[in-house]
Amino acid sequence: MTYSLGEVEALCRKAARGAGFSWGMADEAGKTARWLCQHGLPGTAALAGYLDTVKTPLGPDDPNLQDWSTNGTLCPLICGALLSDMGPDAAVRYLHKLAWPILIMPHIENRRATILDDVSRSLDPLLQLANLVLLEPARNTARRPSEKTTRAMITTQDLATLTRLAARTYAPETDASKLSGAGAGLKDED
Amino acid sequence: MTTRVSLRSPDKVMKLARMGSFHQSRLSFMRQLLRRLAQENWRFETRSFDIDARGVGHAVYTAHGPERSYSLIAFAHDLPPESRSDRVIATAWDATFALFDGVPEEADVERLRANVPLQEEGRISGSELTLSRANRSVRLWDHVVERLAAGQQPDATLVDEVGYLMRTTAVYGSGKFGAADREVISDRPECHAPFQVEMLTVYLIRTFVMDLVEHMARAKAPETAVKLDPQMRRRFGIGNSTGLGMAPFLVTHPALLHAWIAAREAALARVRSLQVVSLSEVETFRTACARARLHAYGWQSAHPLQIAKLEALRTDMDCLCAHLETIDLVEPGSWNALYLWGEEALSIEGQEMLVSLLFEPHGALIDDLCADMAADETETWRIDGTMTTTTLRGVLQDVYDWALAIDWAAQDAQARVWYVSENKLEPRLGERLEEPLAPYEQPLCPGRDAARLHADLMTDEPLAAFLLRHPEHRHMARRAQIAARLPYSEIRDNTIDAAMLPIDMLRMKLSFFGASEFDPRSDRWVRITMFQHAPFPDDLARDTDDWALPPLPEAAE
Repeated sequence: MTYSLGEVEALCRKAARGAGFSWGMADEAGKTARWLCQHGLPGTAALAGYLDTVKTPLGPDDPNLQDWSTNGTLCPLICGALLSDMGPDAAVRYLHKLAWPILIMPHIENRRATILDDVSRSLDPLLQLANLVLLEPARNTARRPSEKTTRAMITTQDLATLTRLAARTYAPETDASKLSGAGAGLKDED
Repeated sequence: MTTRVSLRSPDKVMKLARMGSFHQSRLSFMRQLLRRLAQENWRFETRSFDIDARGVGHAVYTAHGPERSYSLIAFAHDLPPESRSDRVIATAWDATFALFDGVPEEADVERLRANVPLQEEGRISGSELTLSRANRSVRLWDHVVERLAAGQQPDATLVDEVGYLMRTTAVYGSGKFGAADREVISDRPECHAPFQVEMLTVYLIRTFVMDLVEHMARAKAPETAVKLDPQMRRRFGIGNSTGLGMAPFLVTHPALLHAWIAAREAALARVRSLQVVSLSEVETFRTACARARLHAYGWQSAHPLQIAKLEALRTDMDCLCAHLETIDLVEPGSWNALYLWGEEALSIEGQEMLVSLLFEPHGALIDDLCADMAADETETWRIDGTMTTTTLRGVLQDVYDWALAIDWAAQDAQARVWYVSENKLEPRLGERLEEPLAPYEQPLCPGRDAARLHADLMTDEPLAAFLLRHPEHRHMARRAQIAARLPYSEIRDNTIDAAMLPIDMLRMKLSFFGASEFDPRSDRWVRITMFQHAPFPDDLARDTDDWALPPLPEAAE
């Protein structure tokens, strides 16, 4: 069974919110997973993996520096959003201790990301932690997947993780809310 | 001499009371669809109608366009009366539907037979564009079957009173439940305008339902049964019952909302700017006014709020028709003068009806605006983090001045909470002080969130740095930047106020669909009629987009 990209985005957005992100960051998480799936990359697996383990997501202490680092692991969703917000003029070149580096991919634009701690791992889309990521202007962007897909696969395990987190955004059902919330009250079968 | 009338201000247009008084117009998505089907000579065929005497089975209706075909696959069920409910919590329906992208094979029909009747509990695929279901209007259904079986036509008064034999209770598209995403089809000319596959689904459902009711009458009394007279047939639309689920859409798609309103306002400005109006255009307008008056008198609602609005609208239409007898519309600038007269003389319902009526003679002038009613939301998605917080403060003071003036500490200002319940995952509206819902609040209150953001913007720095420290403001910063570029993207009213009426949001969206007979059943649930008086597929070529208002009695003869 495949999923529409709209389903991926909606589920991932709710899961990120359920994992404790703000709504605006949850929007970014949904778009990030959608973009990765659209480009044939394991967006739902990476996001599920990250959200399942993240405790306190942290951004860089000073986004104006060439080196982004913090006292702990950098959150790829925060770093991705920051790259997007700052645009091509951001000075950043190195990201230290970045969790799930693939999740910044949609936001690096015309840059190339290289994982310096073990170049052979650069191709692993499910790498959970990169000690050092180099961002540099891309000489060519041919390595970026260009073929877009319109459907996504989600493994049973990732679906369970994302669904469990998403469920935290739903209010428990009460009789009062069932009756009044959606506006019943009049006969509807006539 | 030309006079350029400017667009109406978003501070005037984007108020819920006004948006909740919009009416269908030439720009409505149903009318766009039928104009295209007629102009491009779409061909329709019933590829399958395999339904037994109990009304159980399936049918396939295919619409063939110049490049592609689309098929409605309908499953008819024998629903026990106690299971019939319009609520989203229902689990069974009289009929269920999917719109297939192309012409289905037998295997597609069987795959869908195992899923479509389950609706939200089933799965459809990228080959499907919509998922939908409908319930009978029991009293009218039984009446029509019995009359037709007895060789008689149904009672016209009863038909007009209800307006439809079945009402849809959901039409899901855009990737829901596994369907193809909108971006898969949005490059197709016939799908470029919003909600075209959803409207095509409902249009084909209407044809199916009329065929089904005649089939049931024939099954009941093969010797005596007759078909509906063609004129009687056109009096039936398709009903729709819509709840809160539709309301958040307007808040979560700001660029699209802007595109719709901006097209409508641009159309109004163009018509108001016209200096020379021909006699035939005046005649078209006068006829439309008379028909709209008829429509206002025929429009039924049992809801106190709508009853009051309808009384005002009927008075408005009497007043408008009387006023037309006293003025010369061929005078230069007469449309603008008439519009300005309406602002003084008519209720908001009447003013917005006048807007729709002014469009009627001027398809050649305004129909091109339909092409601007879709939106590529990715274009406005990205936050410009290089904007300074000082600039953003200015944007907030400009666009959200109404929200900054609200005392958000007052109970009424934050009385409501938009949330999603764990049951069926439907959007709901609760009372903040009465239920512990605040932790589950959805970001559907831009006014309050704009005020909160404004209060926290104390320093002068790039927005990116501010949002790094304040991720809780990220969604609002994005909205504000969109609203700065797209003035009609934001409802300029408090969407969590104690007195807020969700039906105003529903009405606005449904009017753009082209719905009529808006009939609130509560403050958050409405019934409407779609495609009433519209030509059926066989008559499309002979019709010139002249169906959206009821025919005058003499013209119906």
